[in-house]
Amino acid sequence: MTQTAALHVQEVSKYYDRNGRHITAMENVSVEVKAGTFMVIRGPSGSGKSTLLLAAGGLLRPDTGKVMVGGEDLYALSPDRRTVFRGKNIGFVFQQFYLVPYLTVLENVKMPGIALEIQGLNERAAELLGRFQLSERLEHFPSELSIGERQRVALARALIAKPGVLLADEPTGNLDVDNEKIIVDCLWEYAQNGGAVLMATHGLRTDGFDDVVELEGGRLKP
Amino acid sequence: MSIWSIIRKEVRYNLGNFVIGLVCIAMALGIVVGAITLLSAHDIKTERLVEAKERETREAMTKLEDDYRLMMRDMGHNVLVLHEEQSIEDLRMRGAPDTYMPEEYVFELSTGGIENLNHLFPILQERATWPEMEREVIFSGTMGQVPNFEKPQFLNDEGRYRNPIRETLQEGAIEVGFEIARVEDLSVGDTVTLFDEEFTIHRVHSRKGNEDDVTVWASLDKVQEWFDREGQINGILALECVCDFESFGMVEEEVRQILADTQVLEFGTILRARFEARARADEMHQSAVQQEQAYREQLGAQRAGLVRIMVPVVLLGAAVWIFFLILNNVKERQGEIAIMRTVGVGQGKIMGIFLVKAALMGVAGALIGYLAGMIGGAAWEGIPIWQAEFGRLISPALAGLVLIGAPVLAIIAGWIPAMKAAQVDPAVILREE
Ligand SMILES: Nc1ncnc2c1ncn2[C@@H]1O[C@H](COP(=O)(O)OP(=O)(O)OP(=O)(O)O)[C@@H](O)[C@H]1O
Ligand SMILES: [Mg+2]
Repeated sequence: MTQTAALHVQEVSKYYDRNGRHITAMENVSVEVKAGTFMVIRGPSGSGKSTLLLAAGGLLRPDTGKVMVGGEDLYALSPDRRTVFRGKNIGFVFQQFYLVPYLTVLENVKMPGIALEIQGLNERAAELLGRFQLSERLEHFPSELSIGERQRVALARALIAKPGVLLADEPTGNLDVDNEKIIVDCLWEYAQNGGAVLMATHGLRTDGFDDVVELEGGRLKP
Repeated sequence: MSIWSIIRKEVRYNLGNFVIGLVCIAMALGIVVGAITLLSAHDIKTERLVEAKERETREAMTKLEDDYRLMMRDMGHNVLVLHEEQSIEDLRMRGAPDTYMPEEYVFELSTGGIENLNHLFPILQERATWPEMEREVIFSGTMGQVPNFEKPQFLNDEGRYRNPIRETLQEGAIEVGFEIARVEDLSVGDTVTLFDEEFTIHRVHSRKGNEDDVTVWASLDKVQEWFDREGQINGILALECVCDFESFGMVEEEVRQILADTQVLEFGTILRARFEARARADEMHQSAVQQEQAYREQLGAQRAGLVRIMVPVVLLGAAVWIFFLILNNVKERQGEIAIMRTVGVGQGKIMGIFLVKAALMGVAGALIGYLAGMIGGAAWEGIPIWQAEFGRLISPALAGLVLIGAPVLAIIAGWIPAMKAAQVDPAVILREE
């Protein structure tokens, strides 16, 4: 984790044309997340939170603007290099956990290892799961876990490659208050260790975060 | 954690999906291999049937030869050795030869190493009137068979024929032709007077429709005595000439090497009949074999035609099935694909996961299909696996083709779905809640 690894979204717009209707998913959005900080995007449903996170993570090419991660212009990279870059530098957590059903907890966390060379993969996976109180569940399958436990597994997977940036799209949307707290604490811990967190939410209490930006109709609220 | 273990675990997790694909390929290849095996089993079976038919024919031919030998014995002599100066015209006119040879000739012939004539009979034939009956007949004096010392297999310990073709006439016995017996109302056992001597009718010959019907057979010395021809004969009959009709010239050559001043007359009609009958029998059996072969060939061609249509249809069917199976698998695993792409798994690897899975289905299906097809196809043609002939059906080329071709087919069928998997857009999948 480098101190310089941070996310800079610069005047990004994304438009869709569906059945002759022009949809502005996001317009002229700029955000900057420094290493070691935890930023929250708030906004009602359809305001463009997911669009922003996907664009920031190199999964959705914007129509205008740039995304810089760790000083690298994401969309200037070839698709293949962007994929590898994303694997190494950006972690994702979603409201749905997208765990692989036929892999155990430990295997799910190690899964990015099929794409990337990760130093000490086994130990790191076990350590992360230990930190998330899942040491007893390493050989269990996702279907055998509670919802909160599943999200912690997804979070461990997002952190396995020690990315500089973590993008979380309503990671607590399916969780009860206790599990929500566990996840948010984990994200905090990651930020305090030098990571840059960008989390989308529509309901969460936002007091205490480093930065809170509000989206509405695809635009940042001043 | 490798791609392989991901594939292995997914296969185990979605075993139904994999097994359906495998069974589909196994069935398709089972049909293909079965059909091809059926065709080669058909060929082997045809070979077997034709061989059996040929053996049957050979046996029938041997039996026929034997029948002919016996028939020849009843029909009379094959070859007549005459003096060189004997006019055939006179012979035909008189019904008996009128040029004479020393009796020793027959012995010279029998000890001369002749190959082609088996049974030699010295004869003296005279056309004359039976004085007591006032009837013109042919007198035929024979001495019985003279052994051919070249053919020891026919001889007994005393140097005599083991199974004489014609018994030597007893003292005081004669044989008469059918016509004489009919007109004179003679039958076996009757006593007749001939040149002032009493004779018993030893045998009445059946109707032959030739000179035999008006012939009287007596012992050679009697006929020689009656016609003042002591020590003379005018013909040598040879029974069971072992030659065939076409090489008859060789017989004459052989005889003339021993008896320079002779000629050989064939009993053409008999010899030709024998030759032709034999040829016809041969032909008949040949055509039976050919008919069998033709029928089998036609059946084989029909089946081959069917296979030519069936094989592509079945393979295409399997390919389409695999296509939809993998496509469905891709659809079900979109979330999984999206997250893999997100954590850095490249499009090539995603595609590889599905292609390897397809290839695995192909290999496993091929193995099962190949075995089932081989056993089934052969059994259909009546060659069970425990028969030695089953080994002849195993074709390394076919096995290789199937074991390589099936995964290739599965990969081709899975190509587009795998490409679709690689093209899954994580942004589309992951935005959904
Ligand atoms: N592929 C697309 N085609 C058309 N419209 C789209 C597409 N993706 C997003 N949009 C539109 O863009 C807008 C922003 O969507 P987005 O998913 O970013 O909202 P969001 O803030 O994440 O909402 P939620 O809180 O419900 O997740 C919405 O109006 C959505 O309908
Ligand atoms: Mg959203």
